[in-house]
Amino acid sequence: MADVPIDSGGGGPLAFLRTQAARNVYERVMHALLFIASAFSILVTLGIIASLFGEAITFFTANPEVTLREYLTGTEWAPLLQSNPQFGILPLINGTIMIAVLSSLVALPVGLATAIFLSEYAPGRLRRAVKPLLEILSGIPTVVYGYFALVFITPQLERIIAAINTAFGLTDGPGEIEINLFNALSASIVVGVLIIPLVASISEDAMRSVPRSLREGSFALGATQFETATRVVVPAALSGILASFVIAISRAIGETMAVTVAAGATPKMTLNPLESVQTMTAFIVQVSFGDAAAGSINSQSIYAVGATLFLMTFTMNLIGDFILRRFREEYE
Amino acid sequence: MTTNGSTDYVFETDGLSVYYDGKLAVDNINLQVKRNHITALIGPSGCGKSTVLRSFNRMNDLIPGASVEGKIIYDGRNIYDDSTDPVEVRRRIGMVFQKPNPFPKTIYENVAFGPRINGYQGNMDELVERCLRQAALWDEVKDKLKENGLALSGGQQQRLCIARALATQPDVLLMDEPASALDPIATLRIEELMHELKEDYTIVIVTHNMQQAARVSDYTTFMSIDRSNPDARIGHVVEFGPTEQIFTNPQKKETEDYVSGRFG
Amino acid sequence: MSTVETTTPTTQAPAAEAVGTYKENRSARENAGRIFFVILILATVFGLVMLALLITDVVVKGIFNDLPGDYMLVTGDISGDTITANEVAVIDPLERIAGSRTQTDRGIAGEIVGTETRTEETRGGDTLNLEFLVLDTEHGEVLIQIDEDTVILDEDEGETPATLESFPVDGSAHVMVIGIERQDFIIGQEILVGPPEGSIAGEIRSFEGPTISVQIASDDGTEELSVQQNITLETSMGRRTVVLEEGTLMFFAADPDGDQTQLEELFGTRPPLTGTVITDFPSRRPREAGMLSGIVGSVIVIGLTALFSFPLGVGAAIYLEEYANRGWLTNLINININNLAGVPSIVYGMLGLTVFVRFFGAFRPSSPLVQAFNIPVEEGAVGGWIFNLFGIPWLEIHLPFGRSLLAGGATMTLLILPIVIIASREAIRAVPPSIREAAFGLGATKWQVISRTIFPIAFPGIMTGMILALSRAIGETAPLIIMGAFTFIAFLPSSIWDQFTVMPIQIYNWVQLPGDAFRVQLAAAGIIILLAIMLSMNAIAIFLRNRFEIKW
Ligand SMILES: Nc1ncnc2c1ncn2[C@@H]1O[C@H](COP(=O)(O)OP(=O)(O)O)[C@@H](O)[C@H]1O
Ligand SMILES: [Mg+2]
Repeated sequence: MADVPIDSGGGGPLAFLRTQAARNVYERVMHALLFIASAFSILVTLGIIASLFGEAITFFTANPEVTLREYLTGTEWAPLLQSNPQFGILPLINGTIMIAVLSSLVALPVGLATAIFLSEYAPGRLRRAVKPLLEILSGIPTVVYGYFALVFITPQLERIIAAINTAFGLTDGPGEIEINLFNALSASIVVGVLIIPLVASISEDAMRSVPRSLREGSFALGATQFETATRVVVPAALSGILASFVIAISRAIGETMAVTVAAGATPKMTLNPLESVQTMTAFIVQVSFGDAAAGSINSQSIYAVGATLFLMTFTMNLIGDFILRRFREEYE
Repeated sequence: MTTNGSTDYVFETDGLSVYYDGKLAVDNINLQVKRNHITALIGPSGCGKSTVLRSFNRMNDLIPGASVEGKIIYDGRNIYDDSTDPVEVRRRIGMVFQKPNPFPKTIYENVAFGPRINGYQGNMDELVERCLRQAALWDEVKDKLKENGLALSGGQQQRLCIARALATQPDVLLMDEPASALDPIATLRIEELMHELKEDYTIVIVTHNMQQAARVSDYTTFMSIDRSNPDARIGHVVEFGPTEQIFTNPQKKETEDYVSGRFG
Repeated sequence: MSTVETTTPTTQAPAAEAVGTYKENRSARENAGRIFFVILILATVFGLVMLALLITDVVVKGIFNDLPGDYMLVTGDISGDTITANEVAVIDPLERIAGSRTQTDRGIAGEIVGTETRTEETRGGDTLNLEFLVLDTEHGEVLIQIDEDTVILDEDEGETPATLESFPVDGSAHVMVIGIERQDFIIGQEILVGPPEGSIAGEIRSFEGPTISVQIASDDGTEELSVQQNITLETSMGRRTVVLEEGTLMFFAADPDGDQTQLEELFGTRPPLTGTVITDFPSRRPREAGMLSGIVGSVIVIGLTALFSFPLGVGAAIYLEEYANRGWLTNLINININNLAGVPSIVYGMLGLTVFVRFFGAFRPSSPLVQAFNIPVEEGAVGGWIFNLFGIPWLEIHLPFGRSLLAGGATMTLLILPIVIIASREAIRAVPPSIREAAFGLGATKWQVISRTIFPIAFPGIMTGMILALSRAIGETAPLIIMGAFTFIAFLPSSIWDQFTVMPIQIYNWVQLPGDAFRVQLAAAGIIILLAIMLSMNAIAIFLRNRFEIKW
């Protein structure tokens, strides 16, 4: 034995083989506290479901003039009217989907191309520099994106539309293209930019987890780098890429401030992106910013809309998460 | 094999078997480890040397799905008894790992870590110095005790880990291929160190390097994979005895093949 | 791409045994890759150019373009009848909300001389009728917009004489009148009309009536001004028609084509981004508008969020990484956390509204819960109930939380919790298993291993993730709007039970307001401040990551 005395209990070699009771009380308490912290997240989910759906049910039961059928199929949304308010969610869904689709047109190709570049071409240092930049891009407050859309992009669009009108001689004629100050297009562009990082980073992760051997096999057959990237790596990572698309679209559906600021507050059934529309999220903000009193039909209607929104995004996230899990199992 | 009464033995295993996720990894190990001697575990990779070594201080408890059958008698008591606290077992039976794994703390704090968590009351500076001296590291680091342990060379890191293990005043040092990640000169330092430590400690060392086993150990256990059961890779002890005998006059053909380099 | 289709036989000869030939067209095949690259580079360049333009735009509007002169704010509803010739004092509606704690000094006292209705177009494309009172004040006639929040203190109703006096109006501009004997209005001329309160600056668009002789008041005596005339101005808020009457003050820029300096000197302009944005409370006047309460609110909300989310998030991460064994419960928690991270932030706002702002109302004095346990409950100021358990003021608990800083911090905690957990788990996972083994091998208990080795080693990584999560929270707008944070807060909070606003809500509010001064310039100034804070938080996080990252 070494010669420095320590408090070994002094009872010979067997003395330390005692029971662990005292120490274990502390260990157990910590264990329990940590478990509570991790189970708290389930409480949050339950809270979301209870509060959204609880109030949404009140909305339908307390207001006999609103039926679930009218809510789901009605094509007019005008809950703020004093007389004869209308509660058909379709115009809000119309606005939401239009912006989700248009922003995907921006984000999916650009995000995927960025991912291909980062995973297959970019040297390590460039990749390590670009990734935090993408993170920052996605961290910019969405109200700022809304401001950009309204103050910067819309004027550019106005210029372009004016140029088109002049070029085709449409000005002041019946076919003149008109663009609203608040329009779905400029909102979609910024929402698209907003979700590029999401697409890029999830797709890139998926592509990088494709084993090297697959790439080498392709090169050995005489494929170029681009062919290897597009015909071997992308298909191999397809489920991961699809998951990134689903998750990004879900994010676009839930995006709030950019569309509230830039897309307007006019719920309508339209396919024209140059018109002002209203999304589900924008409606919720509109009512809340106007400070609806608790228990009023307005404040209940936002819960019905919120529950619809939650169902849509939650389903998409579950699907995305599921695809991603399946994909990871394939290669890990 | 000589027996001088049970107190001469630090460990005696009795039908030790270890399972990972219900699959048998080593089967029915019966071994003795003699006090103040160096016992080596050799054998081909994957035969369960580390598994056996880690069961001496209940490190296998930390692997989810690992379970142990049989007994390990340490000073007359089974360390796998329900009443035994694995934490106390590990404090008394120190371990040095294959890859040096100092904490990313200062050299001083690395050594002081064990005493601190065990509520050591004495003079910490003195203890740290003593352990670093015992690990033959003091002269090299005495001027930079506040530097990060990770800044040392690999061989120094491993001696730091030995010093760290010594600081809890263990009875036994378990070493799992302690020199396999080191260059030959650093390896030599570690081997010299083991000879010095033998005075105060019992050492069990796993090595795949037969020269090393021959150089440092007093007793050698040869393990290998049981070839009578080719479907499962189950480790077992082939032969156990004084190192001299294992290397010059093995009783089993399999041992002879292995030590003479014809196998593995 | 026409060359793609041209077929060249392979140069290798043994045609006899070959089963077929290959289309060998290397250049076409490589072109695909090249085109991809060219497009990528063009897109990147385009993106960078747009970014540069955008940044220039924001910086120019937020820093270099001065705010325009005074203007009127037009929003709100219509109120009822008014009696001409009554002495009244009017308190600005928005300012009253702003001053919900402190009395406003923005009131105007005067005699009602008429009313006026105007039509405005709203964001939704509807038209809105706005009603104004024309007040005859000591500074001349002032238009006051009336909405349902406007407080009119009527002298005849007894309440007011003292109040009327307590609303001094700053008349300093009065002194600086540029007098003009006779002026023909020139289209395009810069002009400022009216007394300081409710005055309008703009460019003359049109005018009606005969050309008149205008006489201007100066501070040492008022010269006569008699002919009534309407003048339409192009202002920062769109077109305005102003009635010129006796008492109306007009200030002209000397040269219609020249610069605006004289007008600006008159009322003092400033660039949007100056110290005042940081030191002033919200105001309906752009030159006086700031976001002090927003900055303070953001800092406190973020502080509370950090305080709550750190133990919860890190605790959960430690449990999931170090304790949880594979099982359905762990699986459920994992899936759940991933999904929570994808729930739209607005939903958290609705959760916060239901739970923190409203639900805890179950603790009212009348509620069975409170009565059953005989809890000492006091009724609080804003419809809340105060539990003063130990009689110590700073330990009191208000239920429900109401639209308080605490409710804001709690809501934000729920929002960033999944991010904090995911980031902390990554940091913990980065600690190599050999470190755990080393600590266990020295006889450390599980909690000792965690608290003395794993946590300290993972701490910089956890902090990095934490700061990034908080930098996201500081920009979040929607949840706090839903939860009911306010827009106009003209006081600094004295406890976590106070009402609050945050920076991004101020920005959103400015973007909402008509007039470039708010919508473009002040919003840009606010964005610059917000982004500066956010980017420095990111920089700190990246610094932490690089400085303390351990190379194993
Ligand atoms: N953590 C573990 N989980 C599952 N199986 C393991 C684990 N550790 C070791 N094994 C298995 O146990 C057997 C013995 O491994 P080990 O003791 O590491 O051998 P050695 O140290 O002799 O190379 C191997 O077949 C190995 O795959
Ligand atoms: Mg091993």
